[in-house]
Amino acid sequence: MFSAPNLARWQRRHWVIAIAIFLAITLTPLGWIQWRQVRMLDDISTNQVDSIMWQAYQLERELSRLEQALHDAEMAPQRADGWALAERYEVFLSRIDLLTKIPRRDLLESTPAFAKAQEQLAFFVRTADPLFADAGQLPQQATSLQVLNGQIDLLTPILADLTRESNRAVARFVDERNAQLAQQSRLVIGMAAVQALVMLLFVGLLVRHIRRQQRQYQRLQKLSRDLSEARDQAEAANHGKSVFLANMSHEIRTPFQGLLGMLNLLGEAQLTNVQRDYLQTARDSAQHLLGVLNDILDVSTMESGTLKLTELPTHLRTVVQEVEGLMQVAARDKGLDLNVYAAADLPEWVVADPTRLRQIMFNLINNAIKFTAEGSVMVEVARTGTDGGGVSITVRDTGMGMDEQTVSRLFTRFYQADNSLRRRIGGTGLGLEISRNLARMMGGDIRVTSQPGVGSVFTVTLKLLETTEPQESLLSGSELAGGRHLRVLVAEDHPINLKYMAILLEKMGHDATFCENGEEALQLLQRQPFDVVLLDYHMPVLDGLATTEAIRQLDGPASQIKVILVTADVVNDTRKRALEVGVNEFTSKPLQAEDLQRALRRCGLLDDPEHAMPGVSVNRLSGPFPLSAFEAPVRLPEVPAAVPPADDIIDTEAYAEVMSMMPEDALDELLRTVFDPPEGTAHVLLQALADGDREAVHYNAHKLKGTAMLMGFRAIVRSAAVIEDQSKEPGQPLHVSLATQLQHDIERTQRVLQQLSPHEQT
Amino acid sequence: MKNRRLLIGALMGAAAACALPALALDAPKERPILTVSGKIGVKNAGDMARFDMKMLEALPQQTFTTTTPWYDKPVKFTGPLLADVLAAVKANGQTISAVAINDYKISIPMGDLKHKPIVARLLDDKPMPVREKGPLFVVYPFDSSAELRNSTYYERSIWQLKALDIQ
Repeated sequence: MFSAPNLARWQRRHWVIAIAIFLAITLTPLGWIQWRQVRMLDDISTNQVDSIMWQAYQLERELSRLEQALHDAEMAPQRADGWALAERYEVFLSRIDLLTKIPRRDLLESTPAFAKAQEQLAFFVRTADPLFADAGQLPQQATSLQVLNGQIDLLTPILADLTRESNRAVARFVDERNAQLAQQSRLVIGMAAVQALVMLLFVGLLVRHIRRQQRQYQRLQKLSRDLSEARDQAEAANHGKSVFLANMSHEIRTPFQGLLGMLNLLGEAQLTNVQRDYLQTARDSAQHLLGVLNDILDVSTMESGTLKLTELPTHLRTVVQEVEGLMQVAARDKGLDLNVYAAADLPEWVVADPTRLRQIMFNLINNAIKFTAEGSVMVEVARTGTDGGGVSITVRDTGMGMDEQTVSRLFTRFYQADNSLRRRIGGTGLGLEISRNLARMMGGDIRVTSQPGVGSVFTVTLKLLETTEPQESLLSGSELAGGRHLRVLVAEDHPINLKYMAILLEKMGHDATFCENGEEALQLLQRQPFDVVLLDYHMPVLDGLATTEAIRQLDGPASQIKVILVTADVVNDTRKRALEVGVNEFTSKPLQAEDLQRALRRCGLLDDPEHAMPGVSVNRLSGPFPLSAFEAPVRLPEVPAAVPPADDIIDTEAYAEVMSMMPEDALDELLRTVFDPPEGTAHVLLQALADGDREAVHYNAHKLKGTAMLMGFRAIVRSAAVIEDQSKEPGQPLHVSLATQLQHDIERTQRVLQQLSPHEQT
Repeated sequence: MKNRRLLIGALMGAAAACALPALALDAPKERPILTVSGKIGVKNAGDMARFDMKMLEALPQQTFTTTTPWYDKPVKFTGPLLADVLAAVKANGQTISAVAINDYKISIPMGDLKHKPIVARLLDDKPMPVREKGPLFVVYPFDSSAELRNSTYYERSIWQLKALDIQ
């Protein structure tokens, strides 16, 4: 069966051979035919074929002339020249050879006329030659002349016949040539047909090949479409997951704050030992839960590639000491020795993200303590390499150790060395993955060596550039202004936030214009020029992202305005989407002076101060970087033993900032909008709770929470959050204890406020 | 006469030797077979120059073998160059009008001399009788050049040559 060659697999060699064969097949016969034709023409010119006619005619004519000469001699023998007569005879004879020895005499030879003529001529020559031997005497010999004349008379019709035959021979030759030419023409046509067929075959193969490629291309395109659809779906799913995580972080954190707060409050009450033990367990569980939540958020930000290190000059020894101090407690609880050695030549100051550095160390040391039943955990922090900037952290334990298989799977997600330990020890199984990713982001890695029953050694190598001690710089009012007077457009629907922002911006020396939603912001932008727009993420009518998109669609310079998004969303995915629609910068909510200052600076609207601000670091629970489970105890301000009671109720730092920012009367007014009946939000909320008006409760709880967050009223934030949360679910009745708790928190807050405000005391 | 020519040639040197044939052409001793007339500088019979076979034989001889339309196989021709014959009579015309015993007539341009045609007197080393296109036959070396193998030169190959008229 004939199977067509697959042209796609042909290489250059194949093509060359195919083309050579094609040319040979078509051109060789053509060349041969051409050569035949050249030969034919050459033959015609060389052999003077048509001269057969001419020679025959000349022979006949010469015979006539000889006859005439002989006749003349017969008539007047005395005047005749015998030699001239002989010459005439010789000329006639020369004509015989010219005809009979011609190269193409074959055309004539086969004819009877030729044979007869040859015979007769031979006879004539035999007769005439002796007579012409004595040429001088010939004219006088009348009998000889008569004989010759008789011979010539015999010869004349025969030669005439020969001339006619010659004519026919030439015609035959022409026919022969015509036949040859016709045959050659047929050959040429045949060759052309073969060529056309071969060409058609090639074209057919090519078309087939192209079709096949097109089909393949279409298949690929379809595949590519399917893949990009699948990718879109996957991205959408991932996006959904991010949103879910973001929501979850909100949904869990808010009641969680309430939970921790309540636990702390409970700790203040009179409890039996058993109850206190229960409470401690509950608190531990809550802290663990917070850690797990933070781990999951870490992994999600790492996955989306949006996790960024906040690198600043860090005192390495202090970080090591902090970690040691915290971990000593855990080690002591398990009866282990924890020895931490920092090498003498350790760099003092390095550029690093201290939070993340701590997180790695916590994780490794915590693991070592977890998996060691007795013995010790040894930590060594040392300088590595000579090129500078290398730091190694080695954590050695005398624990259970691991076999090779376990070590090889150690860094995979959710993997825990010993499943039976899981319940006992707990943990998300994400810690090592997070730590290794962090180490890699810091230009290093984590290596493990372990022996079952002997212990494990985890070695972290990091590239941390050595630096000098930064100069402390404090922000004063004038520095806050940054030397420039900006025209700021603020879109914010919350009236208290709005008021607060007005005061903050005025204090910073900027000129603020306010509106309530995105649509109004767009209208204002088209009417007058601004330097920057502050957009709240959640707004009625048009939210922050949609407004940004609309701004970028505007005509003229307004579309190029800097946009700063004010958001409480901690998940980087939100930021990614915001950046995609054209947001320039972010500030967290509640808005803080430093955050806003930094955002404006990043927008290029304010001058960069000479030094990075070392005093500014991530120190709020709601900061952009969620903390690790193992760091949570340090960070949670709710740890009861470490925090004075007032701090639990009011974030004094935050409140101090608000106080410093606002003139007294403005602050008073702000406080009145919270507490004073009948308009104060707290009062209205209590009233709504009493009335059981669920909608009003939800709205006012949210409003109160926002204001309280801004002012740093922690206790009220917690109660309001719980109320807001409960009021969301229509099925559940609003418990009367909510109002009691809120009332209690309001009173406590007001009490602390009285202690704090100097002007209230006077 | 021949001795005297040699003597004078020896005395007068190479330069004079060139002009020497112009001064004299022997009268034919045998029956003349070729007559040259027209614009010629040397004559031996009134207004013409006549050659017998011996005189032609005395000129430098050329030999070549060639195929022709008149013989079915290649044949060998021998004879003086046409150019040498014309030089012997100091011909200075543009065209040679050649005439045959059978009254055939053809014009040969002087330019043809570059093709080196000869006045053949031997065919395959044998003298040619009149019945075999003799006694003289102007032949071009057809095999030496394809250019010569066409009717123009075949026509100019005149056999039974008897006279040349230089014009």
